[in-house]
Amino acid sequence: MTPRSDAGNGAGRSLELDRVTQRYPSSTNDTTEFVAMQDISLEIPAGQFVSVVGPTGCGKSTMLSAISGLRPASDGQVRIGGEVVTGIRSDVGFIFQQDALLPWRTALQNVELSLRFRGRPKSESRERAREWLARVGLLDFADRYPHQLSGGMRKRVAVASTLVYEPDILLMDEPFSALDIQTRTLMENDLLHVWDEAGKNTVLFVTHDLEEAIGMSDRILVLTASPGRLLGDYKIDLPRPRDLLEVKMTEEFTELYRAIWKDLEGEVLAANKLRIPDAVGN
Amino acid sequence: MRKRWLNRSATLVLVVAFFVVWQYAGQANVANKLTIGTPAEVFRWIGDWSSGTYTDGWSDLWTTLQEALLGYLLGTVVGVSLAVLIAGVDVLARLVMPFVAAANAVPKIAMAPLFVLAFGTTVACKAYFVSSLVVFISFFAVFNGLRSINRRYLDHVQILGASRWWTVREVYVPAIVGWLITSLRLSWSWSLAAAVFVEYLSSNEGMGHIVQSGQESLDAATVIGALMIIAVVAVCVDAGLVLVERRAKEWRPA
Amino acid sequence: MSTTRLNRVGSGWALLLARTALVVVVVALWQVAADQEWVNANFFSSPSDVWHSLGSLSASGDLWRALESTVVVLAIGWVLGELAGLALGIAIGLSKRLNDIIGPIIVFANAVPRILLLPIFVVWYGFGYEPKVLLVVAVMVVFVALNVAAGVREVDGLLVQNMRVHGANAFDLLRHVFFPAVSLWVTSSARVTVGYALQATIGSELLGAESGLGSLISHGQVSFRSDQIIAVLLVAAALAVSVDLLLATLERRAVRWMPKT
Repeated sequence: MTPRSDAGNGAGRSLELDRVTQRYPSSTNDTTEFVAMQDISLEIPAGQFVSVVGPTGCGKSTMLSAISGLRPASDGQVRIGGEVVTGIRSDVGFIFQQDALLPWRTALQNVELSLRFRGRPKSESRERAREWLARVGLLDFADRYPHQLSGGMRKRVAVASTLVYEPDILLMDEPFSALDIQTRTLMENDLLHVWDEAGKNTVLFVTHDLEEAIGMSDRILVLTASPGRLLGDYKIDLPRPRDLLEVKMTEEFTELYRAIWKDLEGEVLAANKLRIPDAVGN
Repeated sequence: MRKRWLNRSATLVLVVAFFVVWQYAGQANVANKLTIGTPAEVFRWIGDWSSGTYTDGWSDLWTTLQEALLGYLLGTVVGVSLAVLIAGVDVLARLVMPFVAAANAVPKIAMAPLFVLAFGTTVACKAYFVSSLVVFISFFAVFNGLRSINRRYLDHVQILGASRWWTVREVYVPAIVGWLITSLRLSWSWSLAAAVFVEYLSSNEGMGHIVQSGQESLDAATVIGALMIIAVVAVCVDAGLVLVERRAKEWRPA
Repeated sequence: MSTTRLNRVGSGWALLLARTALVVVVVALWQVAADQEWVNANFFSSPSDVWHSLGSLSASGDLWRALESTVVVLAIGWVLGELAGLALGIAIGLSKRLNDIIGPIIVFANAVPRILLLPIFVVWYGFGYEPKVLLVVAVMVVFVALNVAAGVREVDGLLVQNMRVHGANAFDLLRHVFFPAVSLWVTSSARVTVGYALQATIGSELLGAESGLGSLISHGQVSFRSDQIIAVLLVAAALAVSVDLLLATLERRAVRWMPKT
């Protein structure tokens, strides 16, 4: 692990991918390999909220694993603030798709974990943890175990436990996909609000929901079906602060949606092994 | 509500009926009195035993408990250590596990004569036998527990910045403890049974010995009485362990 | 503790070789330790003595007779134990009232180590087949009953409702829903239940029985022959492992339709 730098003031750092490729050994035999990502290069300036969309299996999650250092890339380089990523870094936060909260710890204990790992004294960690739980509106549930909380609540605890150490880069892997649509919209708004309050660090947000992506981000990257390559790079100019319910009704939103969906549709069909329907008669 | 009380009393009636039938059957003829005894005799025996009239009374029970407890502790420590060691080194695990499974296949109760032959009949020796059973139970519990730790928790904790030490403390230890507590009841029940069994085989003290001498002198009351005492002890400790288990499993989803 | 690396280390032949080497080394060490008297001879004996013991037991036929007796008791005891457990389990699974009445008694019985019943059985029946079979049944019945009852209660209510809508009566339900569920449990738990049954069988044979592997062990103890004891223990282990393998193969065939949970 790289030496801990608590210099993270939440303002974020830049993120670069330089011809990054990720290969996995095939599960059936050792000779063939499965290429999840192929030659991805991109630059993300500090403080940008970027969404990554693409069909299933296009390597979105793989990209996050590579950036975080959990599963280093087979080829190519990842750089954060100019430094090459060689292992798990302390200035990166990761919110997983499924629950990763430790089930044998209460909400409060889960949130203070990262601070304890960094050697902060117990009382201080507890204080900061309580602050963040309050920020996500769950201070009253501090002593509950994860199984006693609803799905949305668990996500909020996960957000708190990640943001409490103010990472420069925040990675999120379809964090809201397991929630029902109403909760999802509320969580999206909450996240933007908290992101804004925390000083807008750099965010890489993976989702298959294009509406969610457009509503939340400054920029959208579209990946192809496996092996994932960069297909499109769109700037989202919608003004901030945004309310996800309102912003979906605007004209600019609809136009952006149409444009990006054109790219995305082809990939989704390819991923599902379907053909693009021809003109009537076929 | 009424239904519950109805059912509870039905249970009680069943139990009482059992004792009544037993009493009558025992008194029916001499042969029966020898083989199945009567509740009256059994309870009288228990009374005599606890007041120390015929035997050393409570010291025998204490001997048995000592063997069970010592054996349990030893077996658990060894089992957990081995599990941590083998689970921690992949190559070792792959190499060794089939042998462990084969060793587990030996009906361990059958090793009692070997222990008796080799080590004699002191409390320590019987404790060794007990531990040989408990080792397997705790080993498998912890081994499987370590193997089944969800990768996600490890990833999560690492991202949050946990060093190896913290990872062990926050993920591995709770997992081990959890699985160990689950295996507590099984280990305990086998500990007690093994202690009594090996005493029965060959010993001059302990509850198993009492059972054995009762059987030799065809004294059903002694045999049944002693076994009842063991049964009660077993159930009481088990009930206590259930409470411990429940408390430790607070965080588990229902 | 990475599990992904597990697949790479030593596959196929290399592993087999390593394991064989391990066995050879252990046996060799054992022989040396016995010869040099490093260890308690009464406990460990030596490979050569154990081998000779096996040979003579086999030649005299004692081993085979004992094996046969053990297997017979195991089979009969297991079948009876399953039947008794199934009957009890289905009854308390289907009838809530019965469950409430008998339940506490069963839970109590479960906490008592059943092997303790053996002396009582011996007092009743002497040293023949009966106490052994009875012990096997006693050891199994509670386990089977509790699990079958749980299984019966867990049978997917949706499945039952669906069949009802299709016009099934009680008998149909029993045949098409409960019976498969129960037999599934029986086959998937066979390795565990047979394990218990084997332990109970051999355990009961240890106490002065006239036949079976356990009685051979008991003879070994009485005549201070630890080599005989170890020899028979190895045979018992071999029996347990082969039965387990057999059951594993059968089980795999039987549950092909189940999704991998």
